[in-house]
Amino acid sequence: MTLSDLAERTDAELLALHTSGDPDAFGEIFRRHKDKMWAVAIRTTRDPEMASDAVQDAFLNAFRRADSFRGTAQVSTWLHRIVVNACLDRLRRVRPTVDLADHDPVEPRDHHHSVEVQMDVRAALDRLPQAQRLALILVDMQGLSVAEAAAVLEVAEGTVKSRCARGRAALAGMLSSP
Amino acid sequence: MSTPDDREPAAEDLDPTGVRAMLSSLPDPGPMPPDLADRITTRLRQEQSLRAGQADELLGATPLASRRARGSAHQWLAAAAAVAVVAVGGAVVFQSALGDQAWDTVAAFYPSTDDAAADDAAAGDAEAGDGDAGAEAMTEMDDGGEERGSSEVLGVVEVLPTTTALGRDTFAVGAHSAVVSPQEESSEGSDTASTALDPQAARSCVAATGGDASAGAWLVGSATLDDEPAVLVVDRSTDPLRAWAVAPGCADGDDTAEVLHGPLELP
Repeated sequence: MTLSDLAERTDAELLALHTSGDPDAFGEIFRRHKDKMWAVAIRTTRDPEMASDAVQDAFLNAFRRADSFRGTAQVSTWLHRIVVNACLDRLRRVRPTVDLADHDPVEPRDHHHSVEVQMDVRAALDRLPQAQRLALILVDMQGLSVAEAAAVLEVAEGTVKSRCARGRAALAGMLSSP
Repeated sequence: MSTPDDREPAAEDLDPTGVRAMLSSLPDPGPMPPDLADRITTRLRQEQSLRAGQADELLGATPLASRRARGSAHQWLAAAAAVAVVAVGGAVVFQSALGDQAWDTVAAFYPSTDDAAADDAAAGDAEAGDGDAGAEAMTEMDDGGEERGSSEVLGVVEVLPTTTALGRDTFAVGAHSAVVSPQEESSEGSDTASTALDPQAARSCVAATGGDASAGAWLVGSATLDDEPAVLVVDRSTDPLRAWAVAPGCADGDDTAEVLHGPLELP
């Protein structure tokens, strides 16, 4: 199959080709998604080395377990899930207490207060509980829909909405505090 | 994982604080670093190579060890023919994979090789210009039907051609290096070829770990563990990969040889 043939295929078709033995199909999937998966890995781990290992694990897992893709979500969502899980696995190895329990360590502030950015946004993001940070990374930074983020995180859409709302509020509070 | 508060309704589209807009405007981390793309492509090629080997086995290609055990000329010719088919087919598969620009995103970082089989395959390919970029992953075949090259593919048991020096303190890292870049381990040329295990012995070493060589994917090679002789066994069918150091007796067919170290998960 030529490059143009592969380029015209959807992600799902490429994955099906891969599972049926096509030696080139997964290469096209990798080419299409590697930058986006790198972005989510680096944003999730905040560590280039850890992100590198995680995204490698993720693509190898995807290669090996392509037949587990059921087609109920987009391939990109499926890949996001694999990458996020690989990142969380890596993070747990270095910080075994890390979990996705949602809590609010930051005192809530006025949601309607206009944001005056007084600290680095990334540093503020790092201070969020991981569950809220992941939701914001996926929805606000990676551009996934709430439904897609819910599929990635394997939680209800309402949970993603709530985490996003509370994460944004917490960020606003941190960024506007003196 | 979720709490009752998680289920509170929230209007995700409202952005009164402007935080959502701010986050979405943060600069992208940029493309995947080329060296990482290179590394992942190498691993994917190894997986592809392994998968091709498994497909051959499923299609009825007889394992090399079994071929060696048979003595009749008729069987030898049949095996040689199968090897030739595998060699040509493998070359075509890799030529196809590597000639395709699907891999070119990262294939540009790969040096070309002089692999004859790949060149032969490329000769008949109109897109031969970039076709041999990954031929280093392909198992070479000589006229006698023996396999050689970076590693010897035996169904799902792959034998490292060289001895890997390991230490208990750095076992996982050392084993990982042997898996990722087996060719780098063979830089000493022909001297190192003699350290390759007999494929049947490799299966005994897999069995010594409690593994089943007829299932999964294994990488086995001569090794030293803290300067003592050992055999490295890597289970490539798990994630993360797992590795053992087994007493060298397994190389003599002792499938009850002691596990000296492991299993350890590889990074």
